[in-house]
Amino acid sequence: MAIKLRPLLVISAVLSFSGAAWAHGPTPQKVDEKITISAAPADVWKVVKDFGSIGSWHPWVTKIKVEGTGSETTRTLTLKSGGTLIDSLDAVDDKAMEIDYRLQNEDLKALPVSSYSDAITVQPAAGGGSDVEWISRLYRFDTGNEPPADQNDEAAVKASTEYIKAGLAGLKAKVEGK
Amino acid sequence: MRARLPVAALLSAIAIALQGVMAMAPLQNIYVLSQDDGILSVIDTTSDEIAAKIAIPGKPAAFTIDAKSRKAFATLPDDGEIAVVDLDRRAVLSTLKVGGQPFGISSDTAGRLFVGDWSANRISVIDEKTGATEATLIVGRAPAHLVATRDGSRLFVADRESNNVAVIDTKKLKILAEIPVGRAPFALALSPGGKYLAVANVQTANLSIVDTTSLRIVSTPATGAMPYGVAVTHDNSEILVSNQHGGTVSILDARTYAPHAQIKVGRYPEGVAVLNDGRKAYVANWFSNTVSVLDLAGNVEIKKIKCPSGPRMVLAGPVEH
Repeated sequence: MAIKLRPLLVISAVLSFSGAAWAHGPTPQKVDEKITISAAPADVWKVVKDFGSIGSWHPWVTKIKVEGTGSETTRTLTLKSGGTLIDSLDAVDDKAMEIDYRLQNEDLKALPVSSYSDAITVQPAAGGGSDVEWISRLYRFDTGNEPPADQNDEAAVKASTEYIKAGLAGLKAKVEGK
Repeated sequence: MRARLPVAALLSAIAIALQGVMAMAPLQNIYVLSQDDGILSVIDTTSDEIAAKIAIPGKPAAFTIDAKSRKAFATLPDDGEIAVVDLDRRAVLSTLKVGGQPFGISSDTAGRLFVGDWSANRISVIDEKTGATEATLIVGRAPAHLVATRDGSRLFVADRESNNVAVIDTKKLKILAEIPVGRAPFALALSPGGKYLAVANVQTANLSIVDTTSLRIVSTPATGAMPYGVAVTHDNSEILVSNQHGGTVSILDARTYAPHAQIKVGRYPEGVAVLNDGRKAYVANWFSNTVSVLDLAGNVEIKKIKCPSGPRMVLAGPVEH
């Protein structure tokens, strides 16, 4: 309720920086990972666009259940950790070779995030083959102002990056037949 | 002498006409708030270049502009504060300590701020000069963006987790209605005359068009996937919606709600704003760290302006004095 005038602003900046290590706000976080696959973009896209195929190429996924059709499609992934991710499909764009989906549940055992919306795109690579990019916009698990260390922004980005990297490596292995 | 009179009359008529044109559409800046870098960028809309970057300490999520006091007010959810920015000096003047997790913010012409607290499900009415809280009101879960009518008599709040829009009488401090909309309403835009409100429902991928007199939904036009930003042109002819998935802006006819065009922009577009003259719109591409400039005559993207990291909200506002 009190106004801080200019000299105090400096103090407030210092205070908020010292707090930043443990208390980020509800700021969406980015993950952006790429991999190059030695296969034609159309062949890679055929696998990526199939929303239920992730069970056959993501090494963390032990079980998958796909339900519904069209924009009502969801997939329930059971991970090695025992955690569950429920994704709902938003868009499949054959022209842009892009698939978009988002998380519908929260499960700390699966990933320390409260939500994500992801996009995977396939593009021709410069030297032949395909570039696959997997991007994520996500929020940490505890969106309050003082999250515990395993539920803060860093934990959310770290775990999501590992999940996405493992997925891209698995996709490459599957498509390249290795 | 006789010949001169018409010329003088003509010249003064031209001068009056020019004044008229300028009064109708004064030059505007576009202001872009980047959350990750904590910067309010000022875009000169003649050159479409960033003319200034105003540092805001912290991670500002949303802002409003009071054209009368020529200030911007940016919420800092981490710090429970609102940064007050002087648009002429292009500097932060002070911070208002409001506590909690301030997110959505709107202002009226009487110098009041309306601020939503995301985790406390509360709206506060704050005096923009003193920072004093005049009143608080509990609304639905996770108030996202909110918008006040120009005179501040009515306030509309998108309660994201309750899937409704709260309509508040700010004089009686009473919730007049909680209108069920689609799933996860986030962004709102009031038509320039205030006759209707456009609500972007993120998870149902549509708009709820609310008649602000009857408080009924008159239409629910479809958008692209994950609509996160919405704006109405100053002449009330078109509604612009940013679709986070697919990275597009949909342009709808504001009378029929039929889609006119879909323009590819950057990745994860969020805030969208239109200049009062209706010629150009600006879209914050959150993932790409760019602002797309759209030409609304041809419905094409004419430029991408690189900007500080995490742009989420854009507003048209006054040029500096």
